[in-house]
Amino acid sequence: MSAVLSYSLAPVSGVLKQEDLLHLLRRTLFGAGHRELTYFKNKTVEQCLDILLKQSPAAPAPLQDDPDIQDALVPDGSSWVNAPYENEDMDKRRRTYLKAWWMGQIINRDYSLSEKMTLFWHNHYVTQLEIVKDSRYGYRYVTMLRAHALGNFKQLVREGATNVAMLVYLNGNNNSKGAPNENFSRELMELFTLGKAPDVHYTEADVKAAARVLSGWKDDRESITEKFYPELHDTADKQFSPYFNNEIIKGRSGADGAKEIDALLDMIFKRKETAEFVCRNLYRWFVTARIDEQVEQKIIQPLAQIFIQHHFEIAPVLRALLGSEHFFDAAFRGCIVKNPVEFFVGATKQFAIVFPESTIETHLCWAHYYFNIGGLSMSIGDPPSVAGWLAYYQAPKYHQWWINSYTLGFRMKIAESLYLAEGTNCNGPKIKFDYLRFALAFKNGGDVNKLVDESLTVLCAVKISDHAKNKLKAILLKNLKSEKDWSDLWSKLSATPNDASVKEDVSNRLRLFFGGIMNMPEYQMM
Amino acid sequence: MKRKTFIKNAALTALLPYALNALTACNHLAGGRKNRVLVLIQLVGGNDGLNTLIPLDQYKNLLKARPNLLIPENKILPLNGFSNVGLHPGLGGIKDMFDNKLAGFVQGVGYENPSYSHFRSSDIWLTGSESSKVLYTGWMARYLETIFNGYPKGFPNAAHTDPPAIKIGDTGTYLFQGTSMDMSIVIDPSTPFEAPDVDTDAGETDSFAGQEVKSIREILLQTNKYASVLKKALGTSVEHSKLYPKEGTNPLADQLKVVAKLIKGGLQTQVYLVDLKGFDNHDEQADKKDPTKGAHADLMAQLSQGITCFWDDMNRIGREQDVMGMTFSEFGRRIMANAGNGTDHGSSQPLFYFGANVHAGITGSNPVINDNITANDNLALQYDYRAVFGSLLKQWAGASAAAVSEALPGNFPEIKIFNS
Repeated sequence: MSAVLSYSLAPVSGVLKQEDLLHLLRRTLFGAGHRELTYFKNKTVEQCLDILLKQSPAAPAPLQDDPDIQDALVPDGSSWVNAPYENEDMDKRRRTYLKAWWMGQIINRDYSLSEKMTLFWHNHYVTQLEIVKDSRYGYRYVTMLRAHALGNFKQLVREGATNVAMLVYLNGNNNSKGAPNENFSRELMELFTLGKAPDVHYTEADVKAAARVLSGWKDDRESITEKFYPELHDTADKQFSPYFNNEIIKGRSGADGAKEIDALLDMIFKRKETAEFVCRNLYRWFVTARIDEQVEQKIIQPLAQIFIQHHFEIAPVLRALLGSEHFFDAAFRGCIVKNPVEFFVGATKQFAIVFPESTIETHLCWAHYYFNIGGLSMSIGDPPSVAGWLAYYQAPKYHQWWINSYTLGFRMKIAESLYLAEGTNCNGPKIKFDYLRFALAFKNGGDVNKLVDESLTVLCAVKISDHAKNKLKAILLKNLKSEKDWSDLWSKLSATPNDASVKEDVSNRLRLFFGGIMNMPEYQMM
Repeated sequence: MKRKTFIKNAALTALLPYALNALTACNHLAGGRKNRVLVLIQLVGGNDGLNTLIPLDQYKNLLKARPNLLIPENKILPLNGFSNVGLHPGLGGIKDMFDNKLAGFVQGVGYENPSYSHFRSSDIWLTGSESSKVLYTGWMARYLETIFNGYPKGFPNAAHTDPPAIKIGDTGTYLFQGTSMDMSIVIDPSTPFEAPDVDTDAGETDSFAGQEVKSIREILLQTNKYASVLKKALGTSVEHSKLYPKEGTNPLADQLKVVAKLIKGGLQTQVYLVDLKGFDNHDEQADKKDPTKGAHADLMAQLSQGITCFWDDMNRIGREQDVMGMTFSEFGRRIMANAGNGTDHGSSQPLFYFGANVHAGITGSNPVINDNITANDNLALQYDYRAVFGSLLKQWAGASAAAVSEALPGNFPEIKIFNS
């Protein structure tokens, strides 16, 4: 087994070699191809990180523009995010629309980590939109995640604690004096902040005391905001266990009761386990699922210190991790199984697919991505449970949970749909992977061996066997007598750009060739 | 926009599954019980046992603890021969099975030092661990490995032609996680089974990535090896029970329908896992005005309906003597209702099982509910869940004592579940 050479957060500097740059971009953007390589080429690692860590501007709200929806309250071309709740039937349509819109934001990601981190926080600070059942709440939840994606974690937790979607999802809206509901407070400690590592010893009584601190909040459907009701708030003092230094959160009455949350979060964030837990999750998201004792001591602990020193600002931690010698260690190349978004959107970004111009058609394409990625067991907006997707917490398999006899077959079906000659049908509109354009970006396309090698370098994070490589080459050379025939064919392509039959011949070969790459087990890795 | 539409649109490639070894199939568990099939039904989220199997002799105190949640006395379904317990009114089908001696319950099942975390507790139930110990393989997988020794190496073979286990859904499960790989084939009810072609030639293996790719390749190869038996079974035309609801309305029924199809189609797999999600009813578990309605009532009805249709199917295809099912959940719920007329995470729960040869009746006694229940009170533990599963392995599968302790280490008393 190739050993990890560096357990150091020491920053690397200078301009990255192509393979290092590809590693950085694969892990931070959803897929990288010629477009990304060109954009980041010749930039220093510091400059790359400046770009990646810059928060993307807020996206325009989802619009009602589905001709199939006759929404009396929301005319076509305007948004429903502030509209009155209508009924479950209409809201279900809006929710589906919202999730497809979210998928669209991912597909349209610029060169920022914002979308990747929004998805990270979705997996960390979970809401299931099909349980919340109010699209406007769902929109506010997604907007919150996106606004803080590269911002401040403590602020995110504070907003989430009274976010309307979260109040519904974890029953914070039914948590009142004399009748505490501990659903949110339990997950706040177990899943959102402290975690359940062996050194975390909060008690059942702490969960209950925290629930009392959080009592009195409700969502308001009319104003689509959270509200605090002092009369529902438990104003008695809350005693915590020795794990929290026997801290007492003073009960407060009147509007002041709302401020107890801050005292609770201060207490929870004082425990270094909170910073450690989030850093481990970030590490699993970006580097590898394996955390051994060396990684724990030399990477996680220092990262947690950075997190604490920067008052839970997320960007400094990511900068330290993603710019480190450890991150660029060759041992980690291609060792993460792509999640379904990384797989499907990743292929789309690698080949820089252009979506239809019409908003309606584009939306249908986004919906196609949303449904198929859901089919691969990653429904954006609805993780399987409050713990998020198995791949990010269920040891020791972690990312391998994405892969089973069903999902592999389905991934390969998706890959097949991407190299159909007539294009990929997305609920009506078609998108077409322009494989010819991709291949023409290589200088040495006429040399079939170089074309195979260079394509694999860009597309595939793991080296394949010579046998598999020869099979791929054979696809390009099918019915040709020699490699020179390929060179001739390639030359003809540029000499006679208007010769449709040559173009079609080359395109067909490339289509099946790139399809072959996407169908390899190695292509599942990043 | 549905997945099925997508599948129809995608081109189909010819797949070349491995040739099926035409030798006689006898893919049996220990003791030659080769026709027996076990269907485990996981109730995800923590089922409220007190509103499932209701202790009538505790009704007064229970009503005090959960006034707007407890099923009105006159709506509780009586059980033949057991005057002090009754069933949730949504469980009509299960009542019929029970009255016909086709079903049983074990009361108060759980484990010492219960975890109230969904995730930890699910892991405990699926891996067969004690509360404080973390295991990384499933208890059923450990049992299956005593039969499918060294899996996947050498499997399938003449004696074991079919997959050791089937998981219905889109994700694998700890229950079937073996030492070196998932011992189940995962089948999604809404999508046709596909076995993709794969180059068997390994690329780099001497790296973290190479190891991961190796696992993926193994799943592909193993899936391909079972492709022909699975396609044959799934391709069998079955006239299902008329009792099944419209597809997409009861996820458990949809899943059990696939299991029925596979059994009818002659698949020799003997262990299945299906699930029903949504039991984490912290809030509005029941309608305040009518506790027989609401989220939990809907789940009870789906559970009962799913099992009823499936059982009807088993009778129609003449496999009712071979097939048994059992439910479990990661925990029960608290005795006292919370402010939202829901319940928080609890500990012990009743397990339900069914089949023609099960030990009909109720094992264990009603929980004792005192008259000053507080929010923290939980039901007492009567049986360790490993006693139930261990007894199941012994009686249903004919597992040896050694195989049982391989699957579920520890000494647990035997409970009568199956008339072996």
